[in-house]
Amino acid sequence: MNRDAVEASFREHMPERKNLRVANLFRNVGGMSRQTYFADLEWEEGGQKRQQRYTVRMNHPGGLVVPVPLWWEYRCHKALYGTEIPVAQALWYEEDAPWEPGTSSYIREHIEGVSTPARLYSPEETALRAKIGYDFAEMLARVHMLDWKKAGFDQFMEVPKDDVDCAMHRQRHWKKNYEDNRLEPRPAVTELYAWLEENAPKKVERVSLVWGDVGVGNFIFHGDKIVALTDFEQSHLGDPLKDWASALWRGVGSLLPREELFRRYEEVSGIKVNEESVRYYTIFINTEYTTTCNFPLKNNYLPSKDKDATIASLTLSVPYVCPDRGLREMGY
Amino acid sequence: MRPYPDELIQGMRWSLQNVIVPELTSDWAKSVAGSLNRLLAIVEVRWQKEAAYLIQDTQEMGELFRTLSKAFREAPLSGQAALGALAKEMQQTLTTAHRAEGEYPSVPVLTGENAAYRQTLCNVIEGMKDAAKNGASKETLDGLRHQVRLFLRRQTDRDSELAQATFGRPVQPPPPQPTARATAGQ
Repeated sequence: MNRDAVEASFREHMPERKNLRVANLFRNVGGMSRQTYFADLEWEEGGQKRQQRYTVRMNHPGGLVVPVPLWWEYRCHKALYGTEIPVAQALWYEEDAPWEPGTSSYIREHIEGVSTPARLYSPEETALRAKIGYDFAEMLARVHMLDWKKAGFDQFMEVPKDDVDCAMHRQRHWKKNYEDNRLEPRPAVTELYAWLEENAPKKVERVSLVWGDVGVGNFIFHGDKIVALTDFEQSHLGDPLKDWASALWRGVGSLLPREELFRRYEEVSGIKVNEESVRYYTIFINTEYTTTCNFPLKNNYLPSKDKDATIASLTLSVPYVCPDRGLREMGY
Repeated sequence: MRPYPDELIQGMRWSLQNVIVPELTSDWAKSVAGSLNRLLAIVEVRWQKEAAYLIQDTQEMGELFRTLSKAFREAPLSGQAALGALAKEMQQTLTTAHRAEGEYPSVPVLTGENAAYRQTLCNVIEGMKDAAKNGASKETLDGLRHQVRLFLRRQTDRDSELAQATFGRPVQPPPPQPTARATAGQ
């Protein structure tokens, strides 16, 4: 990460800021799909010294870890900013970032708050968990009620042909990705994909923007309020109930009882939560996460000369936890 | 030769945690050290168990293939050409010499043999799904698929045990909140 190049890029995009410098640049811990750095900027304005933090998101130098190009996430932020869904404003995108040649990257505003679950999960924070859980259910409802056509999501996302296709266009997408990138035969994963094909929900209440990778760690809260949603790299158009499977996988059930989360969500969205669909998508999400976290083994860790142990660890964790959970959900 | 590989790894993990980690200042470096510790734990478990699990896994798949290929050749599934081809493939996998006779099998050789069996099983799973769509006896297929899934449970348990050290999360969530029904019953 070339700090001078980061500073030069900020100067180029913010010419009105005098004597702009990057005072501090450091890597965020947590989240493996991309590298996230924070850049603390200082400049002068009207005789006053000003400072502000920005977020630098970029692919890992070794290659993609999550099998979705970075511009997808950038476009989601662009499309959502200004709607009632709170996201950080994406500022500019670099297909070949000057600070890490050969790697795509984008800059977005930094939103004050925390995304790590440490505080949220501490035993004495019961009231905070309940408040954030309530907030989360409302926020998810808003995502699902968004007018995605008006926001332009159909310009880069596939629109499902019918109700069954809501699950199946994603099943086909991830199955192909899995087959193209797997290095070893994994019969349990083959079985999960077969089960998903045979059991796709026939009725979907509404085609929505599906956040994709949802839950604790993928939103920012400040005080007792959710202030921004993050991690849209697995977003798509489809059945909104898929997001509940992901949210429960990622610990949202620890915030509030499941029924209360669903009740608040139904009140705000008018979308009825069908438990059978949530079960289907629980198996789906376990299969999808197996696929996404298997991807970097072939496309990042093995071919790269810079062997990052955290990526090796990732490819041994989720791709083995998830088939286990998926089979259990199937009753095995 | 002592120390054995697992004993060496125990020393590496101890030194990493007690000597190197306390000297680290950046959160990212500490996080990477945590990954290294988990990966070393995996190498230790794999050294101890992987060979035995590969042999057991391949043997169980062999038993499954014998059951399935027999069923595919008998009524009511015998009319399904695709299943007949899968029965042949399973027989071929069973009769191929994956290991040289008389040689002590190394883990890479056992892995190669196991991968060949697993690939055949993947093809069988796909083939059974397609046969179900193409009108093969649902009742018979369901029974056979149940047997496959029971095997997959055992295989997944073995795989999980080898990879388990990476499963731990830095911050454990509190248990899921009790549902209204469960609370009412208390």
